Amino acid sequence: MMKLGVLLCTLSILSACNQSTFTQGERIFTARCANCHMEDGNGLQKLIPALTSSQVIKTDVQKTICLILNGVNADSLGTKEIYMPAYPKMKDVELTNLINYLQEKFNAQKHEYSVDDIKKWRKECNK
Amino acid sequence: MKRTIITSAFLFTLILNACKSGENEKLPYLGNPKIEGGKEVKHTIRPFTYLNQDSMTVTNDSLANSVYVADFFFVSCPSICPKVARQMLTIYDAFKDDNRVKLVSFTIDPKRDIPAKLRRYAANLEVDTKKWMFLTGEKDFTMELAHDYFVSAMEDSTAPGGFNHSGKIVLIDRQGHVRAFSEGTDPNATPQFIENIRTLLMEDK
Repeated sequence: MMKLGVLLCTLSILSACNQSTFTQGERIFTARCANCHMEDGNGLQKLIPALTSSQVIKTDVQKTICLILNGVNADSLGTKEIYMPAYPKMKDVELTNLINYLQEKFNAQKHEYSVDDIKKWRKECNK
Repeated sequence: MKRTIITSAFLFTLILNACKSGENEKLPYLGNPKIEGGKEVKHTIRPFTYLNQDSMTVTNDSLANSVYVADFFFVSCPSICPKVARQMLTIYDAFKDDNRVKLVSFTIDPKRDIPAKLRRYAANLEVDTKKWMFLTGEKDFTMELAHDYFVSAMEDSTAPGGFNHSGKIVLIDRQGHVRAFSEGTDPNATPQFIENIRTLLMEDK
């Protein structure tokens, strides 16, 4: 019985090891971003910006974080065409994982950031 | 030699049969028929009058010169609409130079999606609105009309963007009958749907 417990424990640790570093980031991306920006990040013509060619993702993490947290609001009359939902309640760890996933997928430089980096930038979005 | 002749004859028959079945291939008529005056009447999209992105009137009759592909959407939809629009765009590209096919997107949010907004939406989508038109009309009627296309659409304050709707892409023939549909959120379903459109076009020949 004890042996079975050890075996199960080892298996669960091994399966956790098999998960990619970006698993949570990818999950958040699929749930929150991919509906509009598409799984491949190609967006939709001029309607929804492509992430694959996004200069914001490549060069401005501060702006990327603020865009995710605050969104881009369309007014009710529809004079502003660009609309993006806001995710102000996203946790620091989730946001860090999402940013690192975006970097991994859409930035050849592949910068990786710590939770502390993200926390610092997050504060700037509320100013 | 004899064997070769037999094999050739067999293959020839097979090819002939394949051609024959291609000629006879016909899409089904979807939906339950009704009995009117003792006669069976196929399920038909009800008559409608809408405004397009240029504030011009579009009716079911004005669409009768072509087969058309329809979907229901709204501009500020944050959920499935962009994915469906991408599949509509794939269909648009497949029949870009074929005047026998049109695309029609009905908004379920006419209060916000006025013609000017639809015009900007089309411009951002970079499509020719003679080919792919965007229609706005009376909301309650549109929700009812959606049922004719086997699409469910309803206002729901808890849903993203305020509306709940399915992402079906529907093929309508020149007589207003539903002949095929595809799940607009599934890119893998689009190639078969494009084939269905080609099959329907063959019926007119």
